[in-house]
Amino acid sequence: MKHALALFTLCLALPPTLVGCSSDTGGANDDAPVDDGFDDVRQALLESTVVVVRGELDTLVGQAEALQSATDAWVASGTAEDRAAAQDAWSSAMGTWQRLELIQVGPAGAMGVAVGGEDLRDEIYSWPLVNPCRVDQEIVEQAYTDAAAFAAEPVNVRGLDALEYLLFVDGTDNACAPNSGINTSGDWAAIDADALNSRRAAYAATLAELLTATATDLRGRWSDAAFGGELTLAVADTFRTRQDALNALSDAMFYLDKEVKDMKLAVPTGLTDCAEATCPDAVESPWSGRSLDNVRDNIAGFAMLYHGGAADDPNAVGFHDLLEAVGAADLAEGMDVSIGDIVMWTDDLDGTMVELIATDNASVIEVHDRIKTLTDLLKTQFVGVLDLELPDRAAGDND
Amino acid sequence: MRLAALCDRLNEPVSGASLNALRIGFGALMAFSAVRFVAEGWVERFYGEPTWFFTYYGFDFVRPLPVAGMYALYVAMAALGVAIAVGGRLYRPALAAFVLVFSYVELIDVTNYLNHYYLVTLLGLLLLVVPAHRPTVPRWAVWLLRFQIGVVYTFAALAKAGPDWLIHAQPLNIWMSARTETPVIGPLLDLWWVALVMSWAGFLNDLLAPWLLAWRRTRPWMFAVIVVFHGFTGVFFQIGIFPILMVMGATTFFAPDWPRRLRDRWRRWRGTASRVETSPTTRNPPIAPVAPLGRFGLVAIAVWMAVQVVVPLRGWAYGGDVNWHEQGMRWSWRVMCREKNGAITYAVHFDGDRRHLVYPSRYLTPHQEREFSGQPDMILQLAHQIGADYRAAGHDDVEVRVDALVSLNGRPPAPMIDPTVDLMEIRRGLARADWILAPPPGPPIRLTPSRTLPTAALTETP
Repeated sequence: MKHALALFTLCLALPPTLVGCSSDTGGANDDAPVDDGFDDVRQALLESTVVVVRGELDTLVGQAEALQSATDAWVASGTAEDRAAAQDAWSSAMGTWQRLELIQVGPAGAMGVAVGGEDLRDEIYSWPLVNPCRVDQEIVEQAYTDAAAFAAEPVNVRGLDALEYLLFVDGTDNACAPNSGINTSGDWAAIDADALNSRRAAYAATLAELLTATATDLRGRWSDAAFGGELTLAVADTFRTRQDALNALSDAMFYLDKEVKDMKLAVPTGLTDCAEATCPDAVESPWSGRSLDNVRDNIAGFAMLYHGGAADDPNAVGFHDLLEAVGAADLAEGMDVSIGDIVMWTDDLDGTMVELIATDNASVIEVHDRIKTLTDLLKTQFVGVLDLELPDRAAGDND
Repeated sequence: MRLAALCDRLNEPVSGASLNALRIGFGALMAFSAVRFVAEGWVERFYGEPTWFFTYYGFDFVRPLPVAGMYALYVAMAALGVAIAVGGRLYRPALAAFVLVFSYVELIDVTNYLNHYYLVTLLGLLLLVVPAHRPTVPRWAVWLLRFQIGVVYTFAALAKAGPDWLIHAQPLNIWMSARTETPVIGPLLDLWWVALVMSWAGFLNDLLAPWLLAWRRTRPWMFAVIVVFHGFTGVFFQIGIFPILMVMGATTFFAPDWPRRLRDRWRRWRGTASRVETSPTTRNPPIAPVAPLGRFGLVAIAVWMAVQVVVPLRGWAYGGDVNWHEQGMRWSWRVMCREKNGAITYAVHFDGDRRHLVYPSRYLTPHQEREFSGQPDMILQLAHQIGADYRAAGHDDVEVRVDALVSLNGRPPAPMIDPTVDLMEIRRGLARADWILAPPPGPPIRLTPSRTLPTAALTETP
């Protein structure tokens, strides 16, 4: 018994004893990560993520500026060709943003939910709060003519979602109910087809201008002096530890589960929350037909975050590398294979999501199922092995 | 020892100072805990945000008050905690009210279950029975508290007595590997052998604590070890008041008059003790006789002790790995002994050939979903609710199946519940659940240090 007590006392005494052993290898301070002479995969992962996000945001800013030019051209000409060019520009910007949807970390994240969240995501893209009727009401009111003032309007009449409606909707009908004010007052009916086209173009131009401003703002907030530095623990104390910062990234990855799997795929395919056999009206991008591309880009965003960049980039460090480093190579490989399965399947699909739901719903359900395989790993072994918390979990006590 | 002699020994009057100290500490800790609960925003999170609650078997009638009412209860618990600490004639009514309110709030939602909340309820009941406000108490009162604390440590040790904990050092290896940024000792924490040493240290601490506390010669040393041990666990893991509660409980193993002795030593050290105060009669007030424990009391104590032993033992009666099937998990002092994460999706079959997936997030908050995803009885309970909702919506032939993939201590996820079973046909109860599948074979994961010495440092070696 004495030996057991001595052993146990030794065990407990061991950590404090090491104070003297390791005190000369550096310690934590308020502004910098611990530098104890080790290369830390976690630190490299965080730094790699900052590089990835900045690259994507640079791309987004460039595409937003291109969209601004394209919508300006549409305003000036009012032609279908310029409208089509604006549609292409929107699609490019949307593709980049769909990759960034998976990286709603820091300022892009929801205030009060994400660490450092400032709701900038909703400023850029407010899905699923889309409301085309509200967009049509703005067309009647024409408040968009003053871009600065229009920035104070609700998010669902401003972002990429409102832009999609303005750029892709055809005809002269509106999305409001017959008893809506714009219909009962006759205000909508008073707008002829040409005026409607020019108003939609002008509105889109304003939104493109706002999008450029917000994207530029978001890019600035990822600088080394701002959130980019905070995520790598170089400045401020937004995150106490690298583990906290990793948790923020893993929270963002859960977009693939809730938003992509449960909302973008399960609802339209009729797997859940659908009164009919299928609910194609519930697709994410009904006007542009880009819903399946959105999912493809979401997967690409997930893969980018998981690998810390391109999968074949030797300088990229992501969760894949961290899992391998901690001895969970099988899990790392399993997630790799799962991502590859999804990409292979979605790349082989032809047509829009609405078309596929009508003709081959099982193929879209297969996308859901393959994503579920990946998110099951994410929710179980991934968070378990890395001791990460699930998103939004109340920080209650354990035992 | 004959029964009569045992009764005499149990009824011997001893100083009530240690139980008074425990009462004061308990009351203060409960007041602090209630204030903390409110300050952390947990009243809103745990009782306001959820729209659906998991009930305990047999307690389906327990429902939460509106959030304002729940806040009022926590304020009341803080006030009652103060009243318990103050003592006097209010102590027992205050403690009775506290136990009632505390038990009520804990019964509202199973996802809020914590072992130390259960311990609070038990200690509250025991302090209600023993005269913890009197200068003199019967010896059985002190022994009963020691027994209760001993039960917690013993079963906490037995829960760890398995290959995952003692051979594979899991889940400590996982938890410690994520804490390498801990000042000073961080670089050690992702070393597997350190996790193994700490696993054994924790196991031995729990196993030996009651015995080494009971033995006078080892008591101070064991108490010091316990303080350090609970201090470490309190720093590493968010386990709230548990470390303080256990350290307070361990003080009952000291001589019943230890607070007076400590006070006298303190005064002597400060040189403030007067001659009158240090006279033997003042220092050790005469032990007043106490009412003897009757036959009913003796039986009641025996039943209490039997229940405290049998309830945690029931897990072994179910067979298999309790950490996996969770039958016998609660009220068994299986404290922090597994890392478990689940992905749950329900499949509802209805109206002949229709099928819907139902995600738990439709019913549960993230906190509830995290807690329920590894616990089959709660998965069953939600399945029943989902099925009832489909029936209420007018659907026929409702069947609910579940895809429950669970990872235990870093193992690859495996199905925990038979996905072919219609859970609407399964009744809640205490019987062995054959719809729970066997745990996955093979050992848990073994993590390796993720940090390496820089290549440059290695190549610069002369």
